[in-house]
Amino acid sequence: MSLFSSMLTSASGLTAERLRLDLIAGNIANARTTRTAEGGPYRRKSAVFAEVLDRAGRAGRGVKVAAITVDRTEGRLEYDPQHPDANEDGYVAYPNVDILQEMVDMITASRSYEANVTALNAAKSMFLKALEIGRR
Amino acid sequence: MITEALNPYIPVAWQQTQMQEKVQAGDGDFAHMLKDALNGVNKLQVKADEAALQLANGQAEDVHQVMIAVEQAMLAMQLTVQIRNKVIEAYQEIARMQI
Amino acid sequence: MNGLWADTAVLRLQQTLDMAAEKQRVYAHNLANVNTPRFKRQEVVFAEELKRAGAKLPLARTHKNHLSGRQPEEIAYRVVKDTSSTMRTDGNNVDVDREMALLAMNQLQFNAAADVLNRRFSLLRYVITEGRG
Repeated sequence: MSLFSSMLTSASGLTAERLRLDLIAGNIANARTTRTAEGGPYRRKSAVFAEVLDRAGRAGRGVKVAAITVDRTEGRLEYDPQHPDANEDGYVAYPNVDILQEMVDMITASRSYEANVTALNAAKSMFLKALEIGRR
Repeated sequence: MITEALNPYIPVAWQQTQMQEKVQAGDGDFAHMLKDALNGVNKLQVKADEAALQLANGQAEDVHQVMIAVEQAMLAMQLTVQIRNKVIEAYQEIARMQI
Repeated sequence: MNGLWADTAVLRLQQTLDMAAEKQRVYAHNLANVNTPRFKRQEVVFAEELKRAGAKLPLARTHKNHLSGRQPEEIAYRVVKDTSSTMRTDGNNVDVDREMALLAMNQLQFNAAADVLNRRFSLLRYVITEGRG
């Protein structure tokens, strides 16, 4: 194992957090989407992270997105009989996306992304420093 | 692997004190001793080369270990060459005296 | 001092570098998993500290002993799991700020050790080549 494996670990963190940000962006963009291809309003998506270990199962190798889950809880119902997607009672089902929660998640994800960048840079700096050993 | 190269307890590479003792005692085939020392240095060099190759292949241990191995091999070589030079000088001195 | 490679300074510095590299890997892993549910952070501790705390065999893996030639039990450091509790609801106990601070300190320590080692080698080189190398 070398410092390269540390960089790959950090890279896995970057990939995972960026995927999370993408999902959050999708959630925010679709916060008022009442119509989807599979019927019904848009449902909030989130990523499930899982730790990655090496083949021996002990050394840490970073993180991966184990699954993308769809949140099946009910969203808000608004009374609006004129809306094209209103049901027979006149209620429109809106997505279960809470904008404030998504913003908080977005801030956390981008902060974590930056933390992984810092770790990657640290590994790179140490590697370059090690190359100087023995330099005249 | 390279851990052997870094092992301070390999006696073969470091015969400096033994060499000095043997020269002073006037016994031992000096050329033989030098050959042994060079073999030891060569082993260190080979190990350092292997380590560098592993680094190129991406299988290496940490790069700092490779750098240390390479540097130690180089210092070992330089030390052996210096000792050889000194001893040759000494023998040349003695040879001159006899004339 | 019976030979160049029994130089304790070089050995100790090399050990410092080894341990710092290991810490880097562990901190990177912790930071990558800062949002993983139920993840417990790992850390690198000196084996003697483990023994003093009365721990038995380490919980996580052992590290290959780079100071070969000594007894196998003289492994200098271990990667262990930090099982302390957390304030977070998802069971993850990584404090991202603390982890980043440890990362920065470790990087500095690695760089410092590399520098000192380099100076040591310069000195040896100077002595061996009698100031001409």
